[in-house]
Amino acid sequence: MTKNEGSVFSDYHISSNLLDEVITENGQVNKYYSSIYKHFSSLNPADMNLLNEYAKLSFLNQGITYAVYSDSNKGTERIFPFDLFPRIITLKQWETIEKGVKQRNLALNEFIKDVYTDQKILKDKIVPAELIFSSSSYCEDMRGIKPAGGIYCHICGTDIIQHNDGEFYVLEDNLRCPSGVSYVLSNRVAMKRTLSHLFRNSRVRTVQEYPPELISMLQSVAPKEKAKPTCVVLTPGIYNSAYYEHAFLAQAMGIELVEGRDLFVENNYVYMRTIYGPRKIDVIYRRIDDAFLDPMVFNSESLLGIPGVMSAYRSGNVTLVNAPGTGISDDKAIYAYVPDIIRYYLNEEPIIKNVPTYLCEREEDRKYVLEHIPELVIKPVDQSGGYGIKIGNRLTKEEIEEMKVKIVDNPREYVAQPIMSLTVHATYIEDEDGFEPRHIDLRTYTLLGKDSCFVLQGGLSRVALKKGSLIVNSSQGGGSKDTWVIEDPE
Amino acid sequence: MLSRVANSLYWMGRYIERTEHLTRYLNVQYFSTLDAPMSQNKPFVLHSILNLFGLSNEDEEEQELAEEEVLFKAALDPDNTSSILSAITSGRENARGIRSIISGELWEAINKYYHFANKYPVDIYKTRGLYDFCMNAIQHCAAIRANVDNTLIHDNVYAMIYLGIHLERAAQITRILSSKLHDIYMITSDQKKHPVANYQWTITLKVLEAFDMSYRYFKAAPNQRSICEFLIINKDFPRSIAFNVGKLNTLIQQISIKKNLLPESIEFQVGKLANYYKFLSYEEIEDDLQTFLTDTLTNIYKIHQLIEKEYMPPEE
Repeated sequence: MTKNEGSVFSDYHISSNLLDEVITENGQVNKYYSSIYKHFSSLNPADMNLLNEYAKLSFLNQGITYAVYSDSNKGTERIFPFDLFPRIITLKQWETIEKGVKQRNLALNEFIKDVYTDQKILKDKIVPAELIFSSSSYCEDMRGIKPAGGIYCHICGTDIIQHNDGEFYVLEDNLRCPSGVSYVLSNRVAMKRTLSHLFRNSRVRTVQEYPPELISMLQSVAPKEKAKPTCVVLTPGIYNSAYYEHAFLAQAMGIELVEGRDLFVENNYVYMRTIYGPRKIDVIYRRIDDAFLDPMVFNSESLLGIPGVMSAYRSGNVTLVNAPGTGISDDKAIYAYVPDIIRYYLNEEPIIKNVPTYLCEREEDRKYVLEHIPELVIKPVDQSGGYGIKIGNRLTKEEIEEMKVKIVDNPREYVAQPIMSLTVHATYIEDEDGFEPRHIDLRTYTLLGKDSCFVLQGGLSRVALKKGSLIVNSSQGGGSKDTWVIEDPE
Repeated sequence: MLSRVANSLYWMGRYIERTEHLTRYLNVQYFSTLDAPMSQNKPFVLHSILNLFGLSNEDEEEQELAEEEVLFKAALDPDNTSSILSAITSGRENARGIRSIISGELWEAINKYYHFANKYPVDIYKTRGLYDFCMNAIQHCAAIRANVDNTLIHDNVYAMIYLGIHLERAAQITRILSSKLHDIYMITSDQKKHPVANYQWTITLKVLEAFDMSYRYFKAAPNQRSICEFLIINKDFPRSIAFNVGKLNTLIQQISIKKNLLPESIEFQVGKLANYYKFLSYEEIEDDLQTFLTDTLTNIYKIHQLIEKEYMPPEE
């Protein structure tokens, strides 16, 4: 009989070939987790279930839900699964991550600026020009536009994993409309309500600075010096999967949440319709995709956008956050060049590593990919949310052959990476009445303003709830954990 | 405030208020059949319900009405756009679009009301749950209004919700009076004196939760004159037309930031109407009450149009 008999940790399975952040290979608990582990391992399944239901109710009552898109069932509301066992990042680890994502996003901002203005990096042949111009995210209408403060990617979501070699790697850059930050803040609230005493023993860094940092960043990039620029959050509306987040951020910043139909353009200025008539807008934090932004320039069928907004933007009368066309730098083929991009603009070595990436467009790489699919992850270059990703060793023979045909037909569309072994973390699995190791990653949030750069301490730890799954996105059955950046215990 | 937000607040107020009047009418009318005198029989009441819900058509007037079907159509039929459930759903959809503007408490009260009605078992409702459904619905409405009153800043957000509430209330009072007048006309040609007419006026007071206060005020059983003085002209009773048009006028003045008022402005127009009802006498309307009520509905619709034009103009 062990002392854990009947505890939610009794059947915890320690995997020999994976790096577990909580419990080491020989069953030792990582010192940073000792008090948290002690708390949870003292619970029996019934206690744990009660605690878990309490946390779920907290989310349901607040209406913190997201919608899943599928053909059969449009706009179903679900609670984003939340795991009560927090993820710890030590201050020392965090300092490296923070420096690394700052460096990376500042370099990417320079890169986007260069691509849409002088194109030096293309002329110097550091990044192949055809890779840019063939990207579906490249936006010809951005040529020559110099946004306020020189910032293009104001809000950057950088996805980071820890490999079983113990090193952190950047897995993906999200420079269009990265989402999920409201969960970071709501998770912390739920966590404090449910397990307040655990906070007392650890010095956890706050996440509450995000909304004030966000509003001050938005104000810093207003087109003209103004004491109180008018900033708004633009949402596609209540049926969008992230509507909760849009409403949450607008409320947290105390600014208007607007839809496209609330705005109009006159004489190259953007106005919102209010009960007292039109009111001029300076900064739009838009949560709609480039393609729907302006039916006069992009998708003419779009009902979500604002006709004429690009012209107002070009005239420097309004700031769009993020700028259109920033997607070129989260194109997964460009990803392979980010270390070179950092060296080129900053003259520094990358602080966080890239995962080695094969570009199917390069003949040599393609040859390798076609021969080694079972050992690789194949990703479409321009998708987000985990859609379209294929893990080689999970594919049947037929699926591998299908994949090969797709790659040969459209090599620009695909990249491949070695299958990274993401770390695992103790996660409560309802169906098993206990904790099990599950793969996790970390999405960090960086805000670039005029002469400012802020990284939210911690971020969103996303966990793949399906056994063995490496895909953590909420749309693919992922959940999340509160992320604690803590100082070393004495 | 965004015009779209104003629009959602206004309609949220209107829909919630509408559900309450429809529910009370359904409840009181249905239970009045149980111990009714003479021609106050079931088919008559079912027709009256269909009439208020705007569901009657000439074919049906000829036929026997299926009780369960009428009750379902009026309250829980999701495909009938004028059912109570449809109005609750619309109210909640309007609230969903402005969650960042109203309090969490108010949103949750509206959300709860929706889930209550949406999940109400139809079989139970049709056979024995009508009273339970109606009483719960009325309580949900009370909880929602309490949250409007006590959890919001009494600024323009509050004013927009109450513009919707008072406009809808004025319209529903008028429609209920008109519907009852129609019922009385069906029973007897002498509307003022017939004992059945007075029974109908009692029901009207009960529908508007005005029975007790009417007795306190007149110390007598209701008749056409007292009904009109209480539910149309009285300036202190919250379910009179004059009271609600007066409130609309106050709210519009509260929202207004204009310095000079033109005769066609909303402030001017609504002010004029409020004064008309404030200084109305029974003698002016007794000869043709039905026309007066029709004109009143037209006036209320005109106020609605002015509100839309002023605060929520359509996109060009």
